[in-house]
Amino acid sequence: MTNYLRGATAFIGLGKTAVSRQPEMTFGGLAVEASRRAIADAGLRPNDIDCLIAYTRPTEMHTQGMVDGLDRASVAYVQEGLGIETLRHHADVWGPGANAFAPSLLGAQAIHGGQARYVLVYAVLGRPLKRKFGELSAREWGGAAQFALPYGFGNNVQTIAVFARRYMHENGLSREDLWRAIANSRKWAMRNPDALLGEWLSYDDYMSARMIADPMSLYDCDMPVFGAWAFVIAAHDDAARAPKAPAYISAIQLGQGPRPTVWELWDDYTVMAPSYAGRDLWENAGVRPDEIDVAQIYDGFSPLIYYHLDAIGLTNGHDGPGFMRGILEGDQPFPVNTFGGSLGYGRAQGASHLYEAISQARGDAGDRQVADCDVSVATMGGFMVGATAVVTRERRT
Amino acid sequence: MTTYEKPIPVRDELTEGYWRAAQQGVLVIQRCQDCHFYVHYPRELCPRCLGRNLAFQPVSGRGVVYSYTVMHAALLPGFGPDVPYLCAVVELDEQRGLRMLGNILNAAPGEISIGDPVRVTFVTVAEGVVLPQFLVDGQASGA
Repeated sequence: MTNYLRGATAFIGLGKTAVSRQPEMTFGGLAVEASRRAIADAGLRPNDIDCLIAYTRPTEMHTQGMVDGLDRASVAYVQEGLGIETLRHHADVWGPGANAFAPSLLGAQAIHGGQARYVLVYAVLGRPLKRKFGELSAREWGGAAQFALPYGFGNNVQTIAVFARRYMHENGLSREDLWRAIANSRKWAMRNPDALLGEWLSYDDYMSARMIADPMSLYDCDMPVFGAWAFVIAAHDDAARAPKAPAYISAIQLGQGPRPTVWELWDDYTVMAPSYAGRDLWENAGVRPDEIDVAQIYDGFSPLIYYHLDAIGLTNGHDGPGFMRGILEGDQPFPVNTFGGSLGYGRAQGASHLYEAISQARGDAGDRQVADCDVSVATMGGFMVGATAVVTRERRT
Repeated sequence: MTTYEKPIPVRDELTEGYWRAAQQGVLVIQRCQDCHFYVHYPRELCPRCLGRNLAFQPVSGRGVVYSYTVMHAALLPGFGPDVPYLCAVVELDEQRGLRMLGNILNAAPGEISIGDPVRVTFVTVAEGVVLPQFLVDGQASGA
């Protein structure tokens, strides 16, 4: 297949809120605030935006009683909140299978397809406000859950635990390797004042941490937060006239794995959807893996880093554990998760990985800026959802 | 019977046959009568041949541990007293990739490994509610 989108569009504006453990604003407020900042960063006004695409999703899938504006933020709510009079194109991405990179891909397609000129996409995340984490609203549950909940199996941390156990069994991954994934993210989080876990985690402290679902301890899981991230996308010729440096979109790819409604039953626990999102990525993006200057590799749970490294082939002949060992012990330094990752910054389900990748390609990552950064990669996902993105400082065609 | 706090399965049009068989101590799995593919969880169309000729059929109840986790936290109601407990993903002998979830009742955490053979057993948890569960085979439990 030919990637007709390569170099056709670019990110020209970024905006985000702070992340916090407790909500400082409603979902609607967060989304509008991040969007307002992204539009200003692009040198535009709200009514310049003619397409709005949302990724809105509570941390948990259970959505009874959710109120638009409070517990989620639809395009309709945000359009009105920004005072945008009309839209030519719009979409809400949410529900099972929602993918945090999908709005950006849909936005680039809308521009290239002639449906829009300036696209605003946003992600807004948090916990359902009126429920404790993990708590169910009903004792009885139907659908696929009737085969899982009666056995005390009903949370993502358990699903990642059984996947990780199998991956460790087949590929020789150790808990020390899981710690390295966390340690790398924490190392960068220490340099990001916005990160919620900007403290070093020693191997000894990791090994004595409270276990939740063996082999997943407390530190192997990211921390649910409230926050929003927004991006403005434009055609490459508009981007060249934008006030700040753009990050050109070389490729954004999505992928979904088999059995997406019951991923705990799928065939091969050593592969996840990012592998399907990573197919032909370098060819489609027009870059070689050895040209990559910086990578944001999804780490919502520590084992996911290794699934993603397998998926995109970044390790270039090394295995994932060898790659992470080289990064941390200095003989193969390479910047991964320079904002602190989900494990150090907070749970943004990939939105913050894409945000940092764009910041790096624009040369706008502050103290954490990688010198002479051109090719910047981000990945997100786990289980059935996966996405990859390559953005560049120099436009590739 | 004391109050049972854990989630119980809610039967629906697709799963009624599965739970009714469990009540009689039989593990059944849907099987396509045309292409002979086993299908779990229950559906109306066979995902392999897209035929509509699916029927519940008894299986051996034997399988192996494909993966497992030891739960050290009670994330669902009623599981507090069970912690730590074993959640297993069992691959049934009938077909590669034919999996189901269950607890392993006769092994302590630390006594279980990927690949261990298991067999089904049935536990009545509430009035009319019987859960298929698993026992590790070939251990001295005799359960």
